[in-house]
Amino acid sequence: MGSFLSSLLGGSPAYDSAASSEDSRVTSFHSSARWQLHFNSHKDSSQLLVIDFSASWCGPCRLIEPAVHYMSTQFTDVDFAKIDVDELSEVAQEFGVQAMPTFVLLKKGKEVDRVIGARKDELEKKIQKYQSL
Amino acid sequence: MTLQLQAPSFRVSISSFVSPLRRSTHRHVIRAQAEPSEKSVEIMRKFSEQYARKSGTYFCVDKGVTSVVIKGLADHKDSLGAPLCPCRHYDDKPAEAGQGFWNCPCVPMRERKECHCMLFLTSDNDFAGPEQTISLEEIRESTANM
Repeated sequence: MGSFLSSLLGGSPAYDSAASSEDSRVTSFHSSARWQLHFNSHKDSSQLLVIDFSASWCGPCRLIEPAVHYMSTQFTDVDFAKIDVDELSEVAQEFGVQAMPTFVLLKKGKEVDRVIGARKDELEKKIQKYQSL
Repeated sequence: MTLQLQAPSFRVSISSFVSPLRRSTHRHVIRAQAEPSEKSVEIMRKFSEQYARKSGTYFCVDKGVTSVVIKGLADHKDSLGAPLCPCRHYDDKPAEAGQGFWNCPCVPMRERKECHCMLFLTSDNDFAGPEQTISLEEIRESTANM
């Protein structure tokens, strides 16, 4: 089942490995204050920041999660953040998040693109495009 | 709104007093979602099976996706009185549940068989499985580690 899903997601079997989750570079934020500090420090950097807006009971969020963890191990110069919209509702509101998952790509604090839904290939392409711009 | 804005800073002040190990445990406790009632899970499970048959749609090949969404619907049924879509963000959940557009089955599903949550998938969807049934046991098993 797992490998079948991986093939549907268009990727490597590594998505299935528990290790990919443990090695994940995705940082979860649970307080507005911590998020604001992180976001402010990002504004001065040219690093690509990818924010994954998800929710506990969101099926597609669960489906794409292993792929996001895997991407975070592949794109080591990209900063991956995760925000639960029910925990940090005001941050989700600030970014105009309506459907989950929503991935917002930022450079120097400004949105350059976004991907809505569990669209792994589209997300990967956009990360590749913006990581070195 | 005031409460929502204050809550996160309260968490920060608490976590700053505990050791790193305790902090991660504490964070986990905060993150853990309250389980929806078994009664609501069963109601939403039955509804999902019936609506899949009625609409000619199928559950995801990964029943974990189906299970999570059914529990999300049950959770909203418990807290809001209506099965508001758990895959969307709302500024005002009670108002949205009252309005009804995103109560399952939502208007896009009823009109165009579009389920963003991947609960009901048309057969041409890459993620559609062969089944229109899901047991309580399957739901329990696939959400056990959440």
